[in-house]
Amino acid sequence: MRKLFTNLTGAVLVFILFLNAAFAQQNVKGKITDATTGETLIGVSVLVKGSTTGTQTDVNGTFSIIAPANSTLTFTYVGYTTQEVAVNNQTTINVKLASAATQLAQVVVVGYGTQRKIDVTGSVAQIKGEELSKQPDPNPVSALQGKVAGLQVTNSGQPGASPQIIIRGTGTVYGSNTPLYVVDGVWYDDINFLNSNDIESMSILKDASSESIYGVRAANGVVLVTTRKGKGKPTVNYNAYVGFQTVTNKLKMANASQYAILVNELNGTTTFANPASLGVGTNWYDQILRNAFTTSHNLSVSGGTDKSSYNFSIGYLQQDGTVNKNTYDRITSHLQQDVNLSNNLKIGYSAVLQGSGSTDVPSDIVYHSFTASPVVPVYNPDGTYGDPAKYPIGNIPNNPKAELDYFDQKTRNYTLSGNVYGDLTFAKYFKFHTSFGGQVAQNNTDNYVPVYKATTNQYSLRSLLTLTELQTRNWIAENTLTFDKTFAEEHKLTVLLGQTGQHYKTYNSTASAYDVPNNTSGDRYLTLGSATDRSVNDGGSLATYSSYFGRVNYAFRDKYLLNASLRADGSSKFLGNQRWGYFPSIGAGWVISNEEFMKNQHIFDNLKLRGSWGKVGNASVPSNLSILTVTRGAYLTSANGGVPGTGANITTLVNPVTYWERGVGTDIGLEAAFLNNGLTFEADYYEKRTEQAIFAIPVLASLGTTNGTIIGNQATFRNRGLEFTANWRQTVSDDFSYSIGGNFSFNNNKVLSVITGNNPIYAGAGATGGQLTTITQAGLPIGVFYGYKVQGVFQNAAQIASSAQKDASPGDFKYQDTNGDGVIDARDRVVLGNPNPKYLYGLNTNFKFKQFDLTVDVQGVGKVDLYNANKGLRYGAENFTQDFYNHRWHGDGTSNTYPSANIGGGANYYPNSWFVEDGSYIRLRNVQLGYNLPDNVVKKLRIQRFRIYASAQNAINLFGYKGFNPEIGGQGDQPALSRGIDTGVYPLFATYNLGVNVTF
Amino acid sequence: MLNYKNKITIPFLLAILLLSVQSCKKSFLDVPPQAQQTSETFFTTAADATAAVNSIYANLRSFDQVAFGAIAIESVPSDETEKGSSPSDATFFNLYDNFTYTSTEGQVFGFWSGLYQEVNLCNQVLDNVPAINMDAALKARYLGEAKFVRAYTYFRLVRAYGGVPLRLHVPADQTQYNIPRNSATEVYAAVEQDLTDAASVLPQSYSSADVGRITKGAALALHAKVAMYQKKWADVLTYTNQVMGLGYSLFPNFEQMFRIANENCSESVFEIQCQSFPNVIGASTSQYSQVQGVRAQTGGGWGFNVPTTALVNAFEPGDPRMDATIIFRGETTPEGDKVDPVGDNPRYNQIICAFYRAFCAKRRRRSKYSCHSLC
Repeated sequence: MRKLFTNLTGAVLVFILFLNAAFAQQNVKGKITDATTGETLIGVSVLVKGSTTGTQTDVNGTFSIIAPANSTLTFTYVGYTTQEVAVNNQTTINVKLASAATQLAQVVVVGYGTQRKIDVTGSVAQIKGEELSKQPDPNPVSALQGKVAGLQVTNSGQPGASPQIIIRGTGTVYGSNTPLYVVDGVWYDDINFLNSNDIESMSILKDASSESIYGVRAANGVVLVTTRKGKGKPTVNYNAYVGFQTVTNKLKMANASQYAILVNELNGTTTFANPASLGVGTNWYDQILRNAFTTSHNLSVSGGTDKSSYNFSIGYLQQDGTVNKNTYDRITSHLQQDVNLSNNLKIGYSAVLQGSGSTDVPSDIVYHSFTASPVVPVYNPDGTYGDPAKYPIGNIPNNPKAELDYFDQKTRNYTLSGNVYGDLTFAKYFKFHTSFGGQVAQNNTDNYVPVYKATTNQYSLRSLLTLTELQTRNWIAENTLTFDKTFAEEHKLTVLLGQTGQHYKTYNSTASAYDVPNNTSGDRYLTLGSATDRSVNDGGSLATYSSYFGRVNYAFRDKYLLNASLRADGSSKFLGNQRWGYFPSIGAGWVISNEEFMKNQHIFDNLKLRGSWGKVGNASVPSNLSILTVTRGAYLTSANGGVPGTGANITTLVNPVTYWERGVGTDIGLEAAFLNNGLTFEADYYEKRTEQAIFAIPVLASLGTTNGTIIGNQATFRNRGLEFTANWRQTVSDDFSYSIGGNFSFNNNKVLSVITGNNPIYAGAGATGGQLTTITQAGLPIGVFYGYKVQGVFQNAAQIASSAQKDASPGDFKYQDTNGDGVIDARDRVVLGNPNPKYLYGLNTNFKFKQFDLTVDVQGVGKVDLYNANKGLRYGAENFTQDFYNHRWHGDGTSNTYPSANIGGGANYYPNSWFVEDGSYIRLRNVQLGYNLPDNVVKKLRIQRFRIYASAQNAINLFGYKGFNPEIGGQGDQPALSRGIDTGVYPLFATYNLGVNVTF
Repeated sequence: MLNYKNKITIPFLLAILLLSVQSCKKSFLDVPPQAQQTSETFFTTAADATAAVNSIYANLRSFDQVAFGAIAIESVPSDETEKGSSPSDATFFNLYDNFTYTSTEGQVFGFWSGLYQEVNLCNQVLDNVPAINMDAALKARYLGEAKFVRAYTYFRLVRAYGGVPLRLHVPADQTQYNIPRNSATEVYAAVEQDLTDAASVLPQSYSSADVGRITKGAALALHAKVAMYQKKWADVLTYTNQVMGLGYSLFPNFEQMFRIANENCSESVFEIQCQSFPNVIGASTSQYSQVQGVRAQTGGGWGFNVPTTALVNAFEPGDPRMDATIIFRGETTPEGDKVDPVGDNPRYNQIICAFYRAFCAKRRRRSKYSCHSLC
């Protein structure tokens, strides 16, 4: 690779030497306004055609540029039709841009470039940064929820967890199923380091042909993020809010006397002699949860001239967690600068620096407050912690308050991400782009267990300091050459060739020492601890990629469109013949409304039909799946002779050959605009097959492997669906305008074939005793819930005697004897529900009335099942919900749906239909009401804009699900096989903010 | 703008650039596994053989072999113990007590897979160590140790499941993944063969640094037990007589035999060695005693597998072994630990706890992996 850099540097130097001489130039000024509303447009890109000379309009919509007298200026603005105006010696050029939310020529960011919307033959959705920053989410991806058809965002609510994103259904089973994020050309797995305020736009590539140019990493979709750039006169923006978060939809639990009644019923004894005397008892949520304060400040300075542009920002976010003690602070900074070294050479950089710190809480603490028994007091009268072991409640859980109080952990995270790049325009139609970027990140966690004794089970005789570190070092070098020319004014041709090299390295280590003092923060060093029993463990990963790609876009008279691309990816993760993967795509479009025969119709302002096909690859799998490695581990240490004997052995099996997992997708779309482009409509039908999908394939336990699986190509499955997006915007008067956008998508997931025959894959832990809750089998969707069908509840001994469950007790579930053999066993299990949502929808509205603006977003998921495992994960002392108390079986005739308190006993805990619930929900995702100070007031204050607003996010959630939160993602190595299984409690919370936007 | 020459130059430079990347492609994309040794480089030295044999011993402490699976299959179905713990915790144990478990019950699988993992460790040694260039005597001994553990493991399998697939080699490829079930007779024959081989090479005793490794006596004693299960009474007599000729003697104090000071005593034929090494965190993951220790008490355990009244009644009055075997609610142990008079179960397993206590006592101090002393 050193050679690559030498050559890169050489190439760039050579290009710099080719700088051009200047020629007759003049200053051109002007103002850009919206053709319909007359509003000035800020940040319109003004470019001297055929060069890299450009500028942007300032906050007053004006620009000034030095341009050759005979040149042509190109005016481009996201959401508006691009216009070209010949300078012809004019010094003032005022332009009215037609709003193009609706127009054919709206520009969208696509892989390795931008395209006019009209030229796109795949399915690409673009969201503006302003829409994202209206939502107070630390992770910009969360804000996409409900905004894009076919995009499922699952915000788990777990502190610090990034949302899970699924584009057009589950595309991959093994490994990460997050999309690829490309920020200004640099590739990331996650963009939690980005501040929404620094984002100009996000493009979501949804169909395989659009994604295909990202080959190897595109199987789970691609999200392209463009960060803000400077524009026009120096502008200072200040955005801030304060507010709080509060947990919503808390499940009401049984109180102490109800709990005691349930324990008595469970044990069949009077464990608690007088339940009523116990009263309400402890409400553990009150000990753990709080309304959490949050505040955010963002300050940016941006501007630009025809020589250079810049955008510098700094943001500070403080967000307390809804769990006591939990805090999160983050500083982000975005530094971006472009410099035109000459008419045809531009260099620049974009960097994001992020530093964050958190005071952590135990990850299960809310779950523990959910399960904690209300008969145990928080504190005893003498001030010591209430000790669950002193109460006759079964097993011995923690006192959640003591658990939280003694938890001492801090995490710090630092990242530097970004790239430097150069653009050379030459020979009129060619543009060479070179970029080097990446990410350097470090994450440190410092956990300290003091010497303490809180309760019977919560104590430590020695202090223990554990330091965990994760380092990331990634880089990507990329070179592209673009040829862009319109021949004879009707053949528009763009050719792209490119090459990239990528390198991803991580290193992690965990070290611990006992007996470290804790008098000051300066004591948190291992070296201060006991020298005899320190321990260190480390690990790492390294993957490299080398890729070549090319693409041709051709449009004839803006009527007939043809796009084709091919990418070749080589990855260190695959061996030998499997190393290189080839990912082609093709797309075609027909803009019917540009046909002669459509000239005289007045219904369609735009009508376009498009179709595409492409292949993508999935590299989100561990490296070297076919290399057998040696297992080491402290657990293999022998103790013969009283001395530790280091152990190592081969405990796994590997597939001799592992192939690329490939996605093959087809998309057919229809785009239409009506009523003077006021109404736009887009519909897509798609089908995407994931071929030779990689699974952890269960192997016979008698092979003696420690993981019970080998990882390899196993199945082919398909996602098929429909997406509809419609937008209506209207300017009723100068005072009132509004827009309403809706999206709806429908997806169907199905396993088509399984290589090892019709053998099902069982997975998904959601029950005690190692019972598995999902099945993946040809003909079914991935990871559907599987278990016994509950037909009712045994009311009495007579019913049991005449049933197939002779061992049951009254109050137990009566299961369906599916095969009718008179015995209830594993063969009676049936499919119980589907965790893959059938449809997703969002409704996004904006209203402007005089100085007021109102945004209302609604979002929902429909026809999806969840496995409410929390109901059945019982080890003894767990509390019950009030709902269970009210509906339980507690004697002949009391219930035929809910079992007795013995949910965890008999055969009741087996995966069954009682645990499967409807997971549909609808939510008021965001409401924001803003007020802009009138222009005359603003002018007096010598500022440009002053807006205040109040917002509420997730204020109303409607669902029938009997858990905390219907947003349940997947877990573990194969998240798709455990999706929708609710085994923890991460409550929903609403956020209420008051904010201000000021522009100077 | 650019002259003709430059128009040629730039694509040319680009072509070179692309080619140069292509040329270094091989080394750039060849990345070895990180922080992991590939199997090709393992089983090449005597040290590798030692490490692999160590793993065989260490894995005898795995959860599936000593905790829930083992208790459910090997102990709770007997008349001597029952589930224990609190009534609503891990109720699946009752299925084993009542013989109503079905084939998909988790412990049926856990015990099975835990034992076959042990078989695999032995097979890896037996298949790969012979080719290592090392001291021949040590190699023979290692193979003997592996054969003993394999036999011990198959003996547990055949008693729990009857005939099982007899896997005596690491599968060479996927065609050998699925092998048929062998008859119990075939399994017993393989067990006996391994024990015969082991007894012929293993030493009678070890120097202190190796105490705890399999001895000739252990192989013969196990062989006697295996013969007994097949009602080969003559063989039982032969092997037990051989064992008795090796110098073992009964330890005088039953209760004290299970104390740390008396580990590997004169009565000890085969002990699974457990010890905490504070600087090897995770080395002592045996939960053998934790799952059986006194429930709901600081330093206690989960309280499973508790002695039944039937076991209590089986002791004759005044038999000191009863008190050495069973912890009663409210008693004070010989070590002075007071057992809480109130709790879920009237009795707990004391022998196990004695082991546990020994195991704990060897820890100089308590470590992160909770160690409970109260037994």
